[in-house]
Amino acid sequence: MGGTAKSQLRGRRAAAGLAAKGDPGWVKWLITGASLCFLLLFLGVPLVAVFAEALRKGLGAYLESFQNRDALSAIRLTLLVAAIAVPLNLVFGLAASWAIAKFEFRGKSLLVTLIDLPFAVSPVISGLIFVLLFGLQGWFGPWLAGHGIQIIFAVPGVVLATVFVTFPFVARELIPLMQEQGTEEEEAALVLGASGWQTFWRVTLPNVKWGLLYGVILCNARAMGEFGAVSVVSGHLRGQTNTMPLYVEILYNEYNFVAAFAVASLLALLALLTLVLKALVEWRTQGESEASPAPATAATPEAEP
Amino acid sequence: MPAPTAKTFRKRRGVIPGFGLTLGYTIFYLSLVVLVPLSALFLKTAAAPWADAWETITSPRVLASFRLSLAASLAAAAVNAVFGLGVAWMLVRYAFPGKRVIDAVVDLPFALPTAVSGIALTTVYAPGGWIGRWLEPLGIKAAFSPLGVTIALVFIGLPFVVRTLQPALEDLDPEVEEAAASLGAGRWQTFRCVILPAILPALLTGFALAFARALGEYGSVVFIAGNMPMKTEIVPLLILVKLEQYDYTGATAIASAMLVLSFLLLFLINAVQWWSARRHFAEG
Amino acid sequence: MSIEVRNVSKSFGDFLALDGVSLHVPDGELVALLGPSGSGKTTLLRIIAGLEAFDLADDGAILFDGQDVARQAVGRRRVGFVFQHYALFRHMTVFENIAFGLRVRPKPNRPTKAEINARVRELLQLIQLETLERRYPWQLSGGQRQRVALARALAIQPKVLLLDEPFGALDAKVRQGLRRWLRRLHDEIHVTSLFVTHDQEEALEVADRIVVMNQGRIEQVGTPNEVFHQPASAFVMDFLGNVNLFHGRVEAGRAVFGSMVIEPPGGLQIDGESARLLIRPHDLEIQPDGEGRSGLRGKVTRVQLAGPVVKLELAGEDNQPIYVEMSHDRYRQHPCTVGEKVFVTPRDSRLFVEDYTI
Repeated sequence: MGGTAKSQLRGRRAAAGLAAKGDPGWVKWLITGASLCFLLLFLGVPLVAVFAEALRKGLGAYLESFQNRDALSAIRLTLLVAAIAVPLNLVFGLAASWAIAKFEFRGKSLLVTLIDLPFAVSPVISGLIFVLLFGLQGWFGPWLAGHGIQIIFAVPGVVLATVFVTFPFVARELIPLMQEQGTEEEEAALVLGASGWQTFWRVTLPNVKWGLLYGVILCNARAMGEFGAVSVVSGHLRGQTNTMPLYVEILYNEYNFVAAFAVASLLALLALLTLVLKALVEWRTQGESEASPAPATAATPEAEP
Repeated sequence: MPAPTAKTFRKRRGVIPGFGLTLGYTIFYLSLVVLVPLSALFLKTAAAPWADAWETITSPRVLASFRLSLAASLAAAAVNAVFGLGVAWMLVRYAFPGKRVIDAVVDLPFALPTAVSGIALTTVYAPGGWIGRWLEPLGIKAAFSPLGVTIALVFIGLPFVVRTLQPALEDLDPEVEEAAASLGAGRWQTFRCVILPAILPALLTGFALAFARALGEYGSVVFIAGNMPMKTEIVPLLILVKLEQYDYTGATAIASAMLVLSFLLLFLINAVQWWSARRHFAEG
Repeated sequence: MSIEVRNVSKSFGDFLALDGVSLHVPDGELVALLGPSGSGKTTLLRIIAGLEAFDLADDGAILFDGQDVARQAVGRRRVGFVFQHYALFRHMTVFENIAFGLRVRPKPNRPTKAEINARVRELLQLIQLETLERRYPWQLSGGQRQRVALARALAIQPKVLLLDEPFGALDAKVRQGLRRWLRRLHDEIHVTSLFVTHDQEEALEVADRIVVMNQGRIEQVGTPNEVFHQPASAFVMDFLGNVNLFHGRVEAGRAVFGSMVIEPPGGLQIDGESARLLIRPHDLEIQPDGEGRSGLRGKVTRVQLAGPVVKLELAGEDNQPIYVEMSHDRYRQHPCTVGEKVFVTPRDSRLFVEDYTI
């Protein structure tokens, strides 16, 4: 199957457009030209600039940027934070989507809105709220200080802020997908004698695996790339609480552009990988849904407020 | 949320297990990670003397930052509404080589860490940068100016408009346009009277989403803004500045004001979507 | 295994889906639950399966072979359930779908791999899809999916088989074939089966016994012959095939419908009540002249000769349409043309006075 359902659909629409209601040629060129120029100026050039700046002084200088302790510790912390935040939000996403998609209860739409809340909060405020809770002047600050536990300006603070910021990603992907798939297959499994867990592992999970993967990819990208929230709680302690984006900022402000862009290029590669995986996932879901009665729109990218 | 009785649950629940467990965990984790920390902000604001908070918010520097944030966000959302519609239209209606790649690249602002986009945009649009060097002779100062802030916010808001519009454009029934054409409407008339009203809710939603995101954006803006007091300071930056001065009350006051603004926008977006869903339902 | 439903009610919010339903399905029978949408038939089926709980009542119960299963979890009841849209596991092949119920059994009761293989092969043979075992559901036609769903339900050797609109999502041709196949299959395996349908023809053709439902209640239970020829209510008669409906009144012990008068033996005691007369199109006879018999005058407005029977449309008194069906042979004896005035007499009819059957 070469083309996906969606592109075939679009193709058909395009063909129909040519026949009956196509835009005149010059309109087409105008819209396409303006759109491509816009995308080039705002997306293309900056993306290329990251790699060009990183390699400005050659491959040697580029690779050298990763050879110091601070860079390595920033990479390690970023991986650690993602390794904690992603699984936590994954488990939450599965529980929330199961409860919301498979059952009817009052207050459901309120719950869905509340889950989206972190998207509506500025990253800086996301960091601030944890300072207010655990900072020295915060609610738990004095108690924590008394017991020698540090959360703000330490790794736990970074983890907390990241968990908050990436909170909705998996749930948001899974809820519409599971809602669309309904409960019939689960009922069929239960009638056939499967237990609740067996139904979940063998029927529900395989059905949403691509949407789940997509949510995890997005969640991970944001967890590794979060800047504003982490910036507030980290305290910028070199070699201790600096994640990669924070380290990029420090290098940039020190006019160490090659090193800054070198680290940034790793994050940009992660972003590109995310986009590629996302396209693959989208392609997979469309391929699978081609002949199934309910087309899965799982991978249709959604805007996150 | 009014507590539903056990009986209504039994009636609707059927046989699928795990309701109590999953809903319980969902509410527990939601409260722990989101609701309790967020309420800390509001309680802190409520506890602070109102006069102090008001003084902070109405100080010239803070007011200037609100003005900049609102103006730049509105401008960026407007630019995105126009060009986002163009991009979405192109991706849905036209066939051209490399379309899949372009389609994927639209999500770049979602995927690229904001710090990276921040330094990249700054480098490109700074005087002497790849694009900045062409703007300089024209007397346009892109980076370190309100224009720079707007550029960064355009970057960050684009996917919201495109991704909201795409499904709306795909859902348009080609027969309606054919009907308009058969009734003698010109292409522009068809667009203005048939297509635009149909996609207006999506366009508004996309605009509002881009605007909301722009208001709170930090990472991609701070580098290109230059952060000159009274001139190019955005609101999130001021929160950070107050924090660094250990002015927790000030930071909290500004943050609360912003949060209220964000929630109003969120409410507005939900209202638009509810309105359009109802309209859709009534039609179909 | 017999099924007994005892005084079961079910409400969704304010809507009463089932209103004190009692039903007995004898062992080994193939029974149809027939009714319009919203009559509660699917709800009843799901309650029997355990997919839906019924409202708590003092004496409400579901019994399999006399044993109360109301408190038994759905997976323990050993029912085979075929869903309206099949609910095949879309990420599993045909083989895996059928094997699912055996593979999820707790360890001590789980058949060995070889046993599972043998059982699945046997079922694949039964549904005549041996060559498609590696296909995924989306690679199958509607009729094939339906058969896989049935095989999957049969794999656990169910005590009863429940089918929800088993042919609802199929086109007419496939539906015909599958119906007969299901009937033959049932004659082979003899598992007590209950299927939901809104298609009266389907119920008449396939079932040993038909349960006609309306608005959450059972209207009539009987063999296809009984419900068709001795309908217990106007609803049953109307639902099972086309009817002409005439409204009239009871006067002096007789039911009067314009110029047509029905005199039941023994007469009617309740004067002044409104009465309904239902006549099937093939129970109406056309005569050129009334010759003093009780009947209706009408004008032929349409003659349809194409098809196995001749269908006539008449405009009766007050322009009420009357539908008549007859064999081609009979039509040739008395051919009539559009515009012709004729006289219609019922050969057979059913009179309902306030749902009081005569």
